[in-house]
Amino acid sequence: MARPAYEKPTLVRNTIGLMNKAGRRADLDEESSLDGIPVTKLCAEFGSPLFVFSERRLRAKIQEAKDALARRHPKATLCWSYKTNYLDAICAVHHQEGSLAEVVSGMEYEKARRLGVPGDRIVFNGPAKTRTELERAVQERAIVHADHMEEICLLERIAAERGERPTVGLRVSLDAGVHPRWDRFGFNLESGQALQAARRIARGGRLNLGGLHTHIGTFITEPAAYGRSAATLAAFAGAVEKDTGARPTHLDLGGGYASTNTLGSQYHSGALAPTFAEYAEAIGSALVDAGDGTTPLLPLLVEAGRTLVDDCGTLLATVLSVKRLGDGRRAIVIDAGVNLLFTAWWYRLNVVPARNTGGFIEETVVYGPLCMNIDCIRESVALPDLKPGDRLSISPVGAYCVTQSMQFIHLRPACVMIDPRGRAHVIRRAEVLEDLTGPERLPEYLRLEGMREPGAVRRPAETGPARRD
Amino acid sequence: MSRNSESPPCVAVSGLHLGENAQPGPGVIRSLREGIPGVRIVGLAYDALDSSLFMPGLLDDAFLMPYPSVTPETCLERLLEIRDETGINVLIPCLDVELPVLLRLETRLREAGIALALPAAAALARRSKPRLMDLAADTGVATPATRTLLAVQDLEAAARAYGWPLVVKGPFYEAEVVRGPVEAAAAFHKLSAKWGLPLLAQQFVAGEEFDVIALGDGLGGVHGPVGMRKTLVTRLGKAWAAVTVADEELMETARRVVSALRWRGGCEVEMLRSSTDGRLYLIEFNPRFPAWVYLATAAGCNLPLGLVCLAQNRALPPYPAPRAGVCFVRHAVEAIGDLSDMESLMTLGRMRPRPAAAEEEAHGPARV
Amino acid sequence: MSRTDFDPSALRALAISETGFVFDPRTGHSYSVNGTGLAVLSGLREGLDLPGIARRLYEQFEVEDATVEEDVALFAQRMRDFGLGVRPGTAG
Repeated sequence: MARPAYEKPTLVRNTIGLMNKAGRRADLDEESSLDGIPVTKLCAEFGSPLFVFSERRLRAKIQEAKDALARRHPKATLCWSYKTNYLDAICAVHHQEGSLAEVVSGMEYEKARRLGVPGDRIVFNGPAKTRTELERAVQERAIVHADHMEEICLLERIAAERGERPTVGLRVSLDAGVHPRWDRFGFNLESGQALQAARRIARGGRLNLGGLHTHIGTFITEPAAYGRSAATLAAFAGAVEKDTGARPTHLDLGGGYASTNTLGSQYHSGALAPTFAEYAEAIGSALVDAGDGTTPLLPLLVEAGRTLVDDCGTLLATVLSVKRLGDGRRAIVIDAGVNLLFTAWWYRLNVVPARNTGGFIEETVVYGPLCMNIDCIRESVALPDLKPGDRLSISPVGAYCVTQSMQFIHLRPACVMIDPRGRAHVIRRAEVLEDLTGPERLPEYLRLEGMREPGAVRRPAETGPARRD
Repeated sequence: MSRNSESPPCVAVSGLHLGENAQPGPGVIRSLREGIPGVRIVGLAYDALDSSLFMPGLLDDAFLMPYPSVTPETCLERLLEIRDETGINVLIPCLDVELPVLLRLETRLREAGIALALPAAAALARRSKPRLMDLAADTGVATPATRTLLAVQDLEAAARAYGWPLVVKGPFYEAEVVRGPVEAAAAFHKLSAKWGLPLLAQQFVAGEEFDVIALGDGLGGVHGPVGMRKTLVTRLGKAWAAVTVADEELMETARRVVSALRWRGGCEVEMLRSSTDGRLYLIEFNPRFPAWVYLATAAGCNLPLGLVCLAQNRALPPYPAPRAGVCFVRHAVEAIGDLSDMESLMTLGRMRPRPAAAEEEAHGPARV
Repeated sequence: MSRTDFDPSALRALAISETGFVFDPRTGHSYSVNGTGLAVLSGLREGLDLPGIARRLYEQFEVEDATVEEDVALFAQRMRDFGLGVRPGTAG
């Protein structure tokens, strides 16, 4: 008879609150393949760590959101929030599905244009637009939402210089009963600044009034908050029209819709997050209620990011070591850390072994590979006895992880997308040292020729600044 | 697995810890045992030290559940495992935190032969603390004026509106009566550190608390409201002793609220009779039976029995007007367990509860 | 005579179940161990020293990596941390 597989001998004291085997086992749910491709095969072919995106899931998410909006509003358009994930392949899928680009910087604007998105299909938001960027946006008829009065003045000057009358919308901050209240962006509604700004645009003679935009927060799990912001913004649009005679061109309800990720502060699983249809329902019915029943509803823009892409991305990683901490807790070190998983700061990411080891489940700390104490992916997650080389899948990581990843201590890994027919495509190759050093310039006097051979270290040449040893 | 409708149901019940913060499971089970001869009860515990596990005669079988913080899939998997082992065909959740998960699973549980009577998600949201004022306004019931606190600065406006003292409440649990700005700020920091934001500031109403238990049929019908006044309270403000009361206005007010919500299932309406204007104020609406549910049964209204009927789409029993003057005092006992129980729970996630002492040993003292 | 620093009478007093449930009657604490953990405990009770226990694990289990000696030492240290199988007052 075959001998049982060895696992490290483990001893756990049963303590109150943890005396629940069913509870400990709960998170363990093996995920050994992604869209039909085994995790081991993906890692063997493309390396580890590895970001994997599901195109099938992404398209389904976008379709679901578009349908939900179409059912509740006659003129609703989905905008893809670039900052969430601006990999070309991800953006291209969104644009193929008909979404506008929502960008918040010149870099993102440029990225969208380079991908072939026309200027008038780009929503240009953000608190830091430069003169050059605004000139281009005006010239290419982008949908601009001004963030502050200086931006309006700048746009007036650009309009005068160009001898044209661009359309400029406003970002508005309002109280939707959400904590924390986001009032750093745009013009505040309750204090009257937003109305003043609308007057300035409508009566200044140089600009046309565009749309009204608001973005109430991030990871808002209460659809009713969007109902409140939609109602407030619609009422404000009416007030603006009455006051200035100019009818805003559209309403933009911004983003902040939740994915199935689980915030560190949440008790329930993120799997209970509202569906996009629930958000669309709250917005749609609030706008209908706010209308008079005869005037057509203003066109609606919705800027979705995390809710569409987060659940479509997984990071595959590999166990490097298994250790006992000084206090007896089990810890593992894996090859992916907060350099790739910025969102691990706020969310309890799912960490799941790619093979069912069947072993003893124990609360385990998951550390990344950085030589930094802050590099912790999960403080505590129920995992079986793992061995070096075991693969793990970490999810959901489709939102923000790639765009916020950094070349810190390690280079960034490859990203692949699995197409609906189950074929994996590299959409960003793994970085090589040249990607890091390419932009660097080493002043001539710092060259270290002498270090080529051990023991042959020479002092820097006399060309360098004087040194005191 | 599914039994014919004639045989007594096999009911899974959670909320099994009768500790300092008493949970409703034991009272629900006691009511079911009285109301349904031959009923089988399967306990769903969240910890190996949930007290009901060790109470002889209370449970026929018992299992550990994954915490309600897991995904609905994990929860469903476990419930189906338990169904296959025991044939449970009714589920009575007794904890608030279970409701969001079970609402996601309601249809699939029903398809799997597990009946349950849950409130609609919209009704559940409408009775939440931040929205209680709207509910009271919609039903014409007085309630202490409440506003949201997002920052410590918001206390100033709240105090201007309501005066002192002021009640600062957590989003889900805990409240403190504060008498001035310093106490208010301290309460704000303490409660927000513990429960997160937003908090609520509520107008202080002095008076006596009355609680009403009821069963809603989901169509606006309200069955057997039973009212009580707490006569002994714990440090946490929970009833340790209470007496049923007959106050038509109290019943009528509770009925109005439960009916307006089209509440489905058990609930508790907490009210305050103001000592200044004599009016009833709605304080809170709990989305399940309270721990003192057996008091209502003793007063003539077995509401858990009705809940099982509701879940199984059967006619509800008639509910007479409850008797006033029935009282309870909670009696804490040392429920005895054994090493083998612990072992079974820790290694199998299941244990065999003891039968009632009389059944086990008719003679001599109970053996452990 | 024990060949380790564990106390034979304390080890004998433990209630150890095949299911991996361990109860220490002296402290009232209970523990969960896995299969290899059980093997270490029974080795200690038989009076084996730690290298002897490691050798037994190599025999009884399919071992791929060679960290068994270190794993056994860690397990023993964890027992000492919990005061399991040692004379009272010698924990940690």
